[in-house]
Amino acid sequence: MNIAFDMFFAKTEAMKRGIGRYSQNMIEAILKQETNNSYYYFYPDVSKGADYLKDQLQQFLYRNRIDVYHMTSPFNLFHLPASLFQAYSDTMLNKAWFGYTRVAATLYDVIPLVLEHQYMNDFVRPIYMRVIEMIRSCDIIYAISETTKADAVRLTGMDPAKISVVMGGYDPKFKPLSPGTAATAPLRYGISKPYVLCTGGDDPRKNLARLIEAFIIANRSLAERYQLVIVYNSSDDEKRAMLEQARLLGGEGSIVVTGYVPDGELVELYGGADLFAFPSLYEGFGLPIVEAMACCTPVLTSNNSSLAEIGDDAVYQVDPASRESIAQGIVHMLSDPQLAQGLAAKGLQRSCQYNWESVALKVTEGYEKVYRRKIAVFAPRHPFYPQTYGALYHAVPYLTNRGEIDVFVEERLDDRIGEERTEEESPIEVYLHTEFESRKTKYDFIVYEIGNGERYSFVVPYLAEMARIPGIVVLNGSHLHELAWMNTVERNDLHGYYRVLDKEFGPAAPHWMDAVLGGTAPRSAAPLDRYYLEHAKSVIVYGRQTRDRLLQRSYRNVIEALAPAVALQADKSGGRSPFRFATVAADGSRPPHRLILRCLRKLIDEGCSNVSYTILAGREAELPQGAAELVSELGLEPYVHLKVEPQYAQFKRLLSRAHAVIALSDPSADASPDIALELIASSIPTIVYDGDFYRFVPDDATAKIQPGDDEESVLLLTMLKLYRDKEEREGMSARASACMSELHTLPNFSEALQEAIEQSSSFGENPTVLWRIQESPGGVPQIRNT
Amino acid sequence: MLQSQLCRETDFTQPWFLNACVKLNEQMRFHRKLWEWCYIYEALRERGKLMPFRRGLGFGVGKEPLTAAFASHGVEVVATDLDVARAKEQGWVDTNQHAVSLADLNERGLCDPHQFQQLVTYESADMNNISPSYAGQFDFTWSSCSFEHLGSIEHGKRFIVNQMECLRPGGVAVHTTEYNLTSNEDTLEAPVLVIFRNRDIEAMIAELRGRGYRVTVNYTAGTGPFESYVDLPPYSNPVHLRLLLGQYVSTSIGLIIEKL
Repeated sequence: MNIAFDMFFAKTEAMKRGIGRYSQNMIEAILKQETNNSYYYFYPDVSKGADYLKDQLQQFLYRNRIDVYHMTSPFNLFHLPASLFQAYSDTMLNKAWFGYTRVAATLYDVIPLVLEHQYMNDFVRPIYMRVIEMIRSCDIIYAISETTKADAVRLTGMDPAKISVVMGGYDPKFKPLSPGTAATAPLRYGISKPYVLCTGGDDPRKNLARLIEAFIIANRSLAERYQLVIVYNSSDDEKRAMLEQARLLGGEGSIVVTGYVPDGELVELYGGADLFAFPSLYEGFGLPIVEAMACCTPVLTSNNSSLAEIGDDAVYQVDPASRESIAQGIVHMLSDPQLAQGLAAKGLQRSCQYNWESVALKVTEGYEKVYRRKIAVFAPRHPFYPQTYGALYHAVPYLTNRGEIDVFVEERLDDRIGEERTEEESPIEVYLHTEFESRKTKYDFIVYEIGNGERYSFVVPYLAEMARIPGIVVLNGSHLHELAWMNTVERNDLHGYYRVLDKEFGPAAPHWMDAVLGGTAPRSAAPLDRYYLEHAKSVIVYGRQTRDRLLQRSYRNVIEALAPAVALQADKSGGRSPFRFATVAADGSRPPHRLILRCLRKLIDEGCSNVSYTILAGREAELPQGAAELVSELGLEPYVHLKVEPQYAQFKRLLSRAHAVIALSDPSADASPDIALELIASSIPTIVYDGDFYRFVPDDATAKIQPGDDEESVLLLTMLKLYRDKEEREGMSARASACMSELHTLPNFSEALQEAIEQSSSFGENPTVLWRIQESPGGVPQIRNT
Repeated sequence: MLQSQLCRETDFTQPWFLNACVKLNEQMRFHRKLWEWCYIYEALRERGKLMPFRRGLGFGVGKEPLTAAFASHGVEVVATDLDVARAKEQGWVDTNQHAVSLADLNERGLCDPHQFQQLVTYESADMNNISPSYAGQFDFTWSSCSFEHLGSIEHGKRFIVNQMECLRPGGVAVHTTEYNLTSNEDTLEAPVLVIFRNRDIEAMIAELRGRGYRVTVNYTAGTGPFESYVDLPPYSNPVHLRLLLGQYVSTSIGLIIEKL
């Protein structure tokens, strides 16, 4: 994921304030996490107007392919000097400028709405509300406390479901003083008595005037034994005013105003204080009380806003609007050491939950939640019927919850996903594969499906894109020599064929080229995958054997999934006689036609003459040579029907009316199990060779036979059983349907796809195939596959 | 974590090295210049210096990719090099190794151009006379193959010691230079180039330690097939981990010096 942080705060006064510290700590904690995210930093230039800002932002998003943009300080204009705030008030980011990029914002508080009379005026209000609108439109909002979330929902109508409460953290240097450590800071700042500490600010919201008043009242009943130490970067005038207030109230000498104190000394001041008092009127996140708790200092704070939320029962809560309440609290805490010690211990324990690692984790979880990958899917057509797309295409809608999906196809077919949807409503765009080149910079992930079939050929040239854009391959078979053959040798591209061999065999490539082209080695003896899979982040396979074969050959990130099966939706009504057997020859499956025809002859000879057998061939080439002659030789003309390139409706009708389908494909062809699974899912009793693809299909939900010497007799017996036993067929159909609708489903398959996509991100730069560096004979290092 | 060390063949197959190649957009090759860049990158990365809110100071940056790579991590960088007139005099401009403008430092596009503009400043600087304005301003400093060109071995030593002043407490300096593998007695010392002997590096380290800086060094020289090959002028062999300079076999050494 490419994540951009808005760094405006780093160039303004905000950097020196709470927002700057919060953003810096949060960003640093996020960067320290072990993720594969990439981070970018955007510095908005608001000085040149809104048009310039829009252009600057959009170029940045486009150049860096930003997935999530995090507005770390959405009210950034409010941190500018007054003159600049007025000048740039029209220049702020607009959600519409972000396009596909997801936008996150950190919301610190909505204080101007909570304390409206204090912070709002006619000039500020519309600008403030525009920022609120912008935040409301974000995809995720990080509130720094439950209080901020509740107030944002209550006062601005923000959607609570969009708001993630991430809290804040404190710097680990705030910790209890080591036993025996003499704190020297109090002496340096002229503190001469035990003291109550307060970190404040010039904002009236900090309630310092009332605290001074309350402290002087309390100190009287405590025999003037204490001083109030006020720490913040106060101006001389502010300091004078506070001391003057104390003098007028008769508390001269009881107040110490330190001015700015570096963090190291602040830790000492916390550690030396008898009490930390922070009766603020409102805080989005009361960091000072967390720091005090972390230093094991007892805390008195307000019973409102995040202060009550964070402090809970580990602090002494008072009404910040009441001088008496604050004064009573101070007296109570300072005159009851047991109470103070108990709260300090509880506070120390409670402070542990406020750490930046936890904030970073919640923030990155939020990124993941809203992140939508831009995924390109190369979806081949259906293995049998050319006017339909394959299963990958139909699994795509299940991925749209987590991504923007564009599907690239060989040719546009009249098979739109979700037939009831209008074009406008569909979240998926379908393009011709030739359009990929002009669109590819948009994508951050690619899903391919390849195997040994002509329908995959259009995908092959695009596999190289995985060197730049992470991608996964859904692999139909683990032995892509046939794919290589039809894409090189059959196209007169011997050089291309050599390249594929070279990737697999390195220095032995010439030997294999001679052997295969010369006919001394069959293509099946030379598995070829690396050329196609070398850059894949992961490979999804349908069988355990395929997976194991790949793992043995140094592949990794191989994920096993159950092949999806889309049941045929066809009308089953119609004549049920004669008994119909069918077989499908498609996608290089090479069914054993001769074996089946011989069995059919024997079946008829057994007296089962009321049969028909239909061979459905995707194309002429799928039929075996001499099939017609064999039919004639066996006297099967009345029983056997050939259907080459049937229309889809006809295909579905013929299959759905079949009483049983013989879906035996040559095991050495390594063909995909798509069609057989589709038939099983359609509750058609199906005969298959027992194998890895069907291991989750119960033995009584389909008819499995073993290839081998006695397969003819086994096939005959199976056909006979299906012919004669209607109950057996019906039971098989019911069990097949139940199994397939539970396991080999599109949602299950898309879940595996999603998992592969997620995992691929965490694989980082790791290639799917292991390589090692070898020295070539000339002494120049070359990278060779293992 | 990496420590001060010689360029070693085994580093080239380490994950950190390959990761740095990707970040610097460099093809993996057995070249010591690439090692230096990757070494500097990793030494700073693993020490948490490549982050926003950190400041780095580069000496003699030429057109190396490190400046842009650091800025891409959000680091504020002050990149320095000789002024053009002196660089021309010394031949760096003619060999296209001297950056003449800020944009030259990001010519590979490693950093978003606007981000780069915000974070990087380019200044002329004399490594023999470091500006006092840099004192205590940086979280890290670096240079790649630069301080052997300062005029003499002593100039190089002085640079290494003086540049530490630029660091804030907790800062780290990472510098690479030429190391004499042939002799600890004789060496090349010319105005344009010196090769540091082991004893020169040791003297440098002793002074650094004396000033309270932390340096840990490993002088192990590998014996792999590629590092056993010595490249000769004009140094066009793709394997270039060791080279003959004058009569001395040299390789790169990386120094990591921490200011506590």
